[in-house]
Amino acid sequence: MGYFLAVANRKGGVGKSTVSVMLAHAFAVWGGKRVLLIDLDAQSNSSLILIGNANWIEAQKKSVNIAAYIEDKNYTAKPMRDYVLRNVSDLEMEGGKLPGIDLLPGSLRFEDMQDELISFYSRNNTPFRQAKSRCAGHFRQALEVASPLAEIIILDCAPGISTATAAALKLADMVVVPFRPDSVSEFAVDKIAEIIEGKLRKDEVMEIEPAKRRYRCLANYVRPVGADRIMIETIAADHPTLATQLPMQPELANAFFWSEERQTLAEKYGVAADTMGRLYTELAQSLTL
Amino acid sequence: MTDTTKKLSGPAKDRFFKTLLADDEGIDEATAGRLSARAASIVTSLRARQSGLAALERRSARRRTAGPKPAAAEPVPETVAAPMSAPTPPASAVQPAIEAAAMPSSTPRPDDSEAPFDPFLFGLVPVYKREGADGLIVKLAEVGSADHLRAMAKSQQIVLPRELRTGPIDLVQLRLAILEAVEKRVSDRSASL
Repeated sequence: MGYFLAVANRKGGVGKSTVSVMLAHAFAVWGGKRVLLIDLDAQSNSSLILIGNANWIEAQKKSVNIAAYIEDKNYTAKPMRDYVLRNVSDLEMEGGKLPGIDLLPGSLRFEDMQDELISFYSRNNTPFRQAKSRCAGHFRQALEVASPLAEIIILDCAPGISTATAAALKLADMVVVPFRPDSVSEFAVDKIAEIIEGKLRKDEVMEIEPAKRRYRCLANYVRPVGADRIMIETIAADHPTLATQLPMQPELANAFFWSEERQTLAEKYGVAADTMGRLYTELAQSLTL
Repeated sequence: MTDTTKKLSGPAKDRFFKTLLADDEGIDEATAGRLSARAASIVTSLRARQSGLAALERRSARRRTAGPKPAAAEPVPETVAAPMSAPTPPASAVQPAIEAAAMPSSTPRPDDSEAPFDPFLFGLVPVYKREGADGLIVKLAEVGSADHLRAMAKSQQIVLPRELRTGPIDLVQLRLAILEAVEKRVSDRSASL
């Protein structure tokens, strides 16, 4: 059965999509795992990184995307497979072998679709909260059938807490929470930790032993300055935080341009492959795969 | 904490400062006398570690036998060494911190060296979260300059009251103000949830 790994933070611009793609690359290439990335962000960044703009547009035209799959309302593994693009990414492994990365592409319609689903569940004067909860259950049911399709299922969540994201957070075996070491990240991390652990207050989250929590924070876009170090320490004082930090590094940013020509992971990431290797090793050790 | 600390006040506290400062070989007799008087005038009571007091007493006794620094070798008062029934520490973290804030630095002060001061030497909020108010005050005591303390607070977005941001100031007062500002920031963050 597949392991569900969500990448989430209600704050935008923290690198959820890039981290999702990095993890997909790392688990497929170094871990030899079959990975399915489900793009739950209407912005579709991880889809664009994995298949490029033209292929993504083509997928939209063919209705091969998350919104079309949800609308299908036929949630078993077999139909889901019809919406998944196989062996995507511009990477190749040694000997020209393709890494086992599959993608359920994102869709710009995904946000509207969630709203429509909530109104569907709100019919007959159903209270809004109840409708939202049913909607999240609907998404959960739709997502969990991905389990037999891959060994690792990466759920790239949208910023904010949409019903789809709420479902992903409930379903996930582990959530990676990327954050930028800035002054508002503390609040964002506190808040998503409560949601992941199903608690209403931060103190209740803090009562859970850090190692037993279902999330790991990951500092991203880290500059070699004291202010960033202190902010990371501040978050790590309350939340389980990976020792690996992703630096503000041009090589890392450049790795997310999709290219027609396939490249090895070392070629694609350059010197940033070292950092990525550390992240993969640390995360793989802390997951119960 | 109550098992291993001792509350000192009144003459016992005054004698403690004298002995402590006299114990530092880098401080001459006159300076030790001046600083101990100043500390004694500001601090009403303090809580000291039993182990630290015992070590201080041993060193002081050795000096008395050997005879160096006669002026500073005033014996550690009986009251310091004698067991005391220390009250339970107050619920507020500030009071023990006030006591600890008066403790002179035992490590070299950053401003003693030539190297430029790093305002991110340690994280004010992380230390407070990990080690509490006492822990933060102990760390702050390692910074022996008002400018450095202010730079540290400013760089780490810990806003001090306007009147404390410039001009001459007592270090103990400044450290406590930093502690309060850190506490305020942490509680503000909690309240926002």
